[in-house]
Amino acid sequence: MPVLHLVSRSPRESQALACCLARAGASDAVLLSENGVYAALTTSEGDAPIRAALRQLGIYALKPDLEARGIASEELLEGVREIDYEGFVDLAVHYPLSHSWV
Amino acid sequence: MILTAAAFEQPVRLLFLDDGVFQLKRNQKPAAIGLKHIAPIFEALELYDVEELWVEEESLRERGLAAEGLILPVRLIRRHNVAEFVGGQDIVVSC
Repeated sequence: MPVLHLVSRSPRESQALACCLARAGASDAVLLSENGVYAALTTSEGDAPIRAALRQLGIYALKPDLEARGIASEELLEGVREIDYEGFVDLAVHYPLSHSWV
Repeated sequence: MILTAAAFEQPVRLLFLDDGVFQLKRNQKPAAIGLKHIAPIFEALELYDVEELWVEEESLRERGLAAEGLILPVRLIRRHNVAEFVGGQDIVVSC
């Protein structure tokens, strides 16, 4: 079954995203929330792994968490999809398994 | 959580990744810093029929560990097989 990977910590405070991307399957998706959304910034240094992942996986960022941190759509890496809470619920329905990386 | 699930006769598999593999390292003496020894908890898993301890080979190797240096016998899995393994479970719980 495809897995929705949940990452809520900044790539600079935690290895959660790197650990997740190293193992995500081709049919999986990643949802960035809370400080995890910082990984979606174009200006982010060390973003090679997430750029590579964007070519294969759906990568989503939670819009309210982006807005709360002053991150505009234009500042996101190309391919990152913004979703609201309803979209989050839809993802959770679409992906029967979710895996929180802590 | 593991023991609760097992007590209700749910088949449980544990997968150790990244620094999580250090939990299984032999010869830990946490009393030296006033912490509880967790090895007996892992050793008790067998009593609850939790017999599948999976450890990612790459996580071990990156940390200079080997399966022989762990407190319990484990099954090894390669990193590129983790996605399929996780995707094959009914429920995934992280801790």
